[in-house]
Amino acid sequence: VIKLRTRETKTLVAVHGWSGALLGLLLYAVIVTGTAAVFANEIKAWSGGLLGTSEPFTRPLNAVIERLSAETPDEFREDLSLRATPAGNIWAFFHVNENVGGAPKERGILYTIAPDGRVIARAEGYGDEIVAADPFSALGRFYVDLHVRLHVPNPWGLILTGILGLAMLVAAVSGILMHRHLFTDIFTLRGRGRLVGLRDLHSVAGTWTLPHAFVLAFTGAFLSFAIAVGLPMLAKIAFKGDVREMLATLNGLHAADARPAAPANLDDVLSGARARADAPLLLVSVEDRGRADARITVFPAPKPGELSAVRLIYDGATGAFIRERPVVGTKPSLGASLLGLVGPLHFGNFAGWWSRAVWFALGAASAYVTWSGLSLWMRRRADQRGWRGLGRATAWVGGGLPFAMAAAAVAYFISLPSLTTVFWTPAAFLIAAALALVPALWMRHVERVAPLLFGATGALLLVLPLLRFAAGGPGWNAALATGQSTVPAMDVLVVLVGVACIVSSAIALRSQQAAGTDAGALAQPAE
Amino acid sequence: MMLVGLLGLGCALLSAAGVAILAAIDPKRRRDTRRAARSGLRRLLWIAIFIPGVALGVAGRWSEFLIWIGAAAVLGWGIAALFSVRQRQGDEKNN
Repeated sequence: VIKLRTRETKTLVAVHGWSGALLGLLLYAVIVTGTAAVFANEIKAWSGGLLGTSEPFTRPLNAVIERLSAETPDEFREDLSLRATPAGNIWAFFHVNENVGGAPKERGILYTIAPDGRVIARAEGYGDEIVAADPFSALGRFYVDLHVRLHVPNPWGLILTGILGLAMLVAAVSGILMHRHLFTDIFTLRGRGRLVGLRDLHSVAGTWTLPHAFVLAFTGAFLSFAIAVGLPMLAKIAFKGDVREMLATLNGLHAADARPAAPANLDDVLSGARARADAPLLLVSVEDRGRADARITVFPAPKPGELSAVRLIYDGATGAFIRERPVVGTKPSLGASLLGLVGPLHFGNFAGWWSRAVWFALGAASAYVTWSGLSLWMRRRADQRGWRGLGRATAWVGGGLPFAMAAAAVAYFISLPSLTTVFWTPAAFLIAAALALVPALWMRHVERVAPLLFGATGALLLVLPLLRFAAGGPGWNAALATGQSTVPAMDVLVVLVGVACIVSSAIALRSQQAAGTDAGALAQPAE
Repeated sequence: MMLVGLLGLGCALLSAAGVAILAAIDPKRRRDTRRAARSGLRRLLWIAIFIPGVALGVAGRWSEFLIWIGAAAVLGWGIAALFSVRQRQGDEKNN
């Protein structure tokens, strides 16, 4: 029991309530999209329809990279990035670093290499623009962008989500302090029919997910502000805006030697790195390729059972292993260890499917906490005309966001054969959001809007595996034969979530019918 | 990779069993006026719930620890909801 004076409690209730009322809907959007984005890589692999192999860096690459290097214009041969795509292919990006409007950008040629060494795609331009135009990963990228910056242009989107992370922290701290019996009430749920019961639903869910709320809010705010503000500011103040110089300094300088030298055999380096890392390799960065001072940095996944991974540095000319390096700095430090934890703690990607499944469930629970808090705020003001608009907006966003996300996925698969997914995925999201606005504005019983939209979301999710297959996506046998268990696993997960949406919608609608709730009330679709 | 996480999930199930007993004897939920009667047992159960997590931490199994704390939280919430539904069904029957 935390004892506070009445005045202090009132202040905390006001801080908790108003921060939620002002930012709650946006926070709900960030949490719901973040819950889906936990499976971003799986969604990209599942929806892309391109079957590679589960560990693409185990295949020989040196010969094909040498051939592609010879075909690539000199101006783009400065650096090379190799990335394992979620579908199991390799993206090889020969590029040069440029400064465009004060921001560092990479321009070059991106080749997509299949496991058998065939080049299945080639694109030229700025790296971020090439990736943004990729039709096969449009769905996963759309969810991630919605979560990371709500599709607001940089850096404002990141700053906005950073502020939302801080708002979540404020809500968590004020929630602990203002709730007098936080832990003794941890099993007390008195039914949503009464106002006190609605408060129970919010506070009990909030109490159980409290550690997760702290971790997600802090790491999310940290990531947003570090990318949008911290690193650019550091580069500007200490390195005159030279990001490459900043990274070289933070990660350990190497002596410059511009003499030409034949590149090391990539296959030897990668097989050595695979053995040393004892985990799949995710990304390989070759700097100053073809020079005597070339460096190869290999980014492996964490070893099984570990939370973060080290980077492996190799000599790009001789292929000799130089050293391991932590996330930042040249040798292990507390700061580097803490920084290395931010990603795994936020993304939940440290133990494969299990950790992602747990993070997904915790994300759904956090979304419920946000929405039930908003509903509680609205229920207390149900008789005030001025607040009814927010009540309808809560119902619209609460049910409409998942509905629009599912509609975006439907449009993605329908437009995949014509390779127009980059346009239709966000377009369908906006159209579905507009459609969801119709019942939110005009239905007399606003409490029925969200359950209806949840039911519609479930129906859309159930057809996604069929649409995926109809759009030319691989069957389960073909996927499993290449080690891509992601495809059947995602099919099953999508169907399970769809069934859960429909069942919770049916239960909520039936209980509302039985209770004959008032028109102004705002109830939840499921407990 | 699939095996990593199973230990954390197993520990979460153990903790969830403790949570279920706590929920079953929770005096506030049961509207039991003799709240002090089982306070010793409840205190022991609260400690027992955290033992699997402490063991994972002591063993340095941090990824399993995170899975344990996350899964135990979700299971605990589910148990609290289930017990409340049962309670309300019981109340409706009695009325």
